[in-house]
Amino acid sequence: MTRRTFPATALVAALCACALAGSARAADDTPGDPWESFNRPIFWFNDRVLDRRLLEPLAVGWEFITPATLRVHLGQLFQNLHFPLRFANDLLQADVKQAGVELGRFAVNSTVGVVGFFDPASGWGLEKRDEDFGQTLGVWGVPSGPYLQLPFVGAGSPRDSLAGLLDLAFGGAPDFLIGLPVISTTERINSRALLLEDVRDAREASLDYYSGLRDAYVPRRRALVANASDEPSTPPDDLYEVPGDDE
Amino acid sequence: MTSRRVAVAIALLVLVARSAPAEQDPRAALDETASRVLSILAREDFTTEQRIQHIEQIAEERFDFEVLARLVLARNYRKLSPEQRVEFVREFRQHLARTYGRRLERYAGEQIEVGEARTEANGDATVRTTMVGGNQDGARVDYRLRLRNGSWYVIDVIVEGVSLVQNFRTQIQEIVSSKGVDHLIQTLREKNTASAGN
Repeated sequence: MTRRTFPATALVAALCACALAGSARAADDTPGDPWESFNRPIFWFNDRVLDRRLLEPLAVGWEFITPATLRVHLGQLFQNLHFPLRFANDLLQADVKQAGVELGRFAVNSTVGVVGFFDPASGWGLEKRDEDFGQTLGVWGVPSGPYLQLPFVGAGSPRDSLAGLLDLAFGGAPDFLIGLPVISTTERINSRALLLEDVRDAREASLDYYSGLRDAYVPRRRALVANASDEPSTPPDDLYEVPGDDE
Repeated sequence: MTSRRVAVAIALLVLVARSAPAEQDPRAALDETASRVLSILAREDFTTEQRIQHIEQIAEERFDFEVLARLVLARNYRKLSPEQRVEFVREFRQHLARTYGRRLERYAGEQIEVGEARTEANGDATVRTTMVGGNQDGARVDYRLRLRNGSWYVIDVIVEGVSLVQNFRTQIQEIVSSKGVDHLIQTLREKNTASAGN
């Protein structure tokens, strides 16, 4: 429960702080990140303190005591519990077809898939597609606003972080039903455990972890809003102009 | 009419014959590289170290690291001395090899489905691929290729909409503008020696 009320206060405080930081540093070196001077310390806290001191060690412990298949299937179970979130947003985006797919998935996986522990639906061509309220707002034409790091919440933007509160209400609905905050804690640790290698890779591969993650998050988010899985990605052509030797 | 057709056919044949030793098209080039990589990954008798070695060699033939290095440096390229440029290309190539090598260690039977190619405004080609199976099922990876001396070379990898060039470019921009060129090369060098120690 505390988890649910907390972000609201944090968000408001953070947004105010951001507005100040933004106006103080109107002209920044990084055009896509006007709030960088606010974001970086928050990111440091999220990464160095919360993740490396708490969440990652817990996930490593979880990885140690559970078999890999259990973690994968638990992940699928939680995904199944978040069905209402995806379904509602498919409808809000007027994507009736995908809403039907989600409904089919939920029916199949909750029964044949043993409450969602297995995912036979994907094998039958019913593919999950991540949706949330931030994406829906994006589809409706609401701009995301600048990149924003919030304590405990992580990467987002004014649009996506605010909409994330609605996600919590929807995605967390099964918690109410079962009445166990234990579930959301387990989910958090389990999903972090599933990402252990990826995060290690990202830390190793990046020269500046903060901007590396930011510039993966922002275009990825844009791609999610566009739902453009069939179209090849199109970075701007001027990205590929080779600087010459002379001058 | 018929003789003209024959003439055209001969002309085409000559063209094909002349371009044959070079490369057919970007899609075929990438397809060939992908299947070579997959066949190395499937070799059970290889140690991880051997696999990485073979794949690095294949990557060497298909990637244009010189262009890649210049693209990620962008306007910072001119701030580097000729010696620094050489060192940067070397270190950056090694950095990519190390980090991608780590990913390959976790290969879980993924296959690569090579899709269509699209010609870009500047003559480059973007080839779509999709990972099938394993841990990365359904992941979209696009490759941007550029023609040089009759061969197609990869100059960017775009994973799920995230461009490697774009991503490294801003990281490098942040480091250079806050700490300078020397620090950039220093960071790369330290990353490489640290991961070599593992």
